[in-house]
Amino acid sequence: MSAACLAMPLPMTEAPRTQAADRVDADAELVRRAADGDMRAFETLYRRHAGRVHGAVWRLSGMNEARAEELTQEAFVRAWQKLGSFRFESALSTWLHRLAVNVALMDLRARDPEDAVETDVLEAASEPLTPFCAGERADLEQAVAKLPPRARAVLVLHDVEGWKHEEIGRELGMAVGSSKAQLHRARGLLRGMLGDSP
Amino acid sequence: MTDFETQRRLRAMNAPRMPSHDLWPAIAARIEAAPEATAPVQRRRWIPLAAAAGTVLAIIGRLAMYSLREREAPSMYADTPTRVERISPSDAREQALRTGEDPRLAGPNLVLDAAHSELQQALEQHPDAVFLVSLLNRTNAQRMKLEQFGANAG
Repeated sequence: MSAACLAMPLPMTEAPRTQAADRVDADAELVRRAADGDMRAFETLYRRHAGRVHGAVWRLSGMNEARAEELTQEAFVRAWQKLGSFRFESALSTWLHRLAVNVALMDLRARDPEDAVETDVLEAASEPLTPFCAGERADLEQAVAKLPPRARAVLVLHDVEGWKHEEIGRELGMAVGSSKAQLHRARGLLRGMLGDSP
Repeated sequence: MTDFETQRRLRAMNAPRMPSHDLWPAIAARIEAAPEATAPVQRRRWIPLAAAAGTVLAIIGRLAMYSLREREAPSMYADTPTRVERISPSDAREQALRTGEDPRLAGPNLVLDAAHSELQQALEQHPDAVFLVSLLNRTNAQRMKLEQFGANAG
């Protein structure tokens, strides 16, 4: 990897503390208005949080844009329906993110009961991608997208979203050991696809 | 790419990503089209009303039962004290014996009354709690059933 690649700045994920606090306060006011039936307030909430919600479901759906858009819609419709149960105990962004991840996982469970490793995944694992600096992120996304759905979900939740195995096991209905095994498997497949030795 | 670098890159994927087009019109249309298109809190405003209605029904039922029994045997209940303060089940039994009320019902009556007042207090603190309303309604139904048992037992 070149020095230019390493020097590439990572995207900012957290705003300064004061801005974040202002944002939480503004969200709380918007939630109260939306819970009273103000659709404009809910639209503002959508515009503030669509990026984070869509990003999470996009990764869990294997970077499938069309599917992710359906899941984002579903997540916001459910958020509207459940807004009355939001207790302001956490930030709205956390609540929405969790709700969206649950929507994506429900979709995953409904679509992928067996979670067999597709032949093309194994083929992809034996034919490493040729990484180059400008496309490294795209290569990684492409490799994650090719993972079997359940292994991908565990990898995304653990390595990208920062969840613990206990939480993943609970949400995906699997034992903690199975979650760890899926993560190991996903990382191995990823290494293979990215051309690293296992 | 090393394992460390892969992990770092994976962590960096945790970034917002906007949909390719504006999803709001579709979301708004789905919300409007839903059978319960009103906002969550508005839908939940029936909860205190349901609780109040349940309580009123129970009181009406109790009063009706009381007046029926009084008409049948006015002297028996003439000096029955109003049950306001909390008393122990054994005291309630003794009191029931003194007043002519069926002592077998005194204990359950006391428990149901206590449960009812505690549920009402809890509802005042959490007016949106659906499970409290259902518990209150169940308690009221049990109180009415107990009244009927008492009336039937004579």
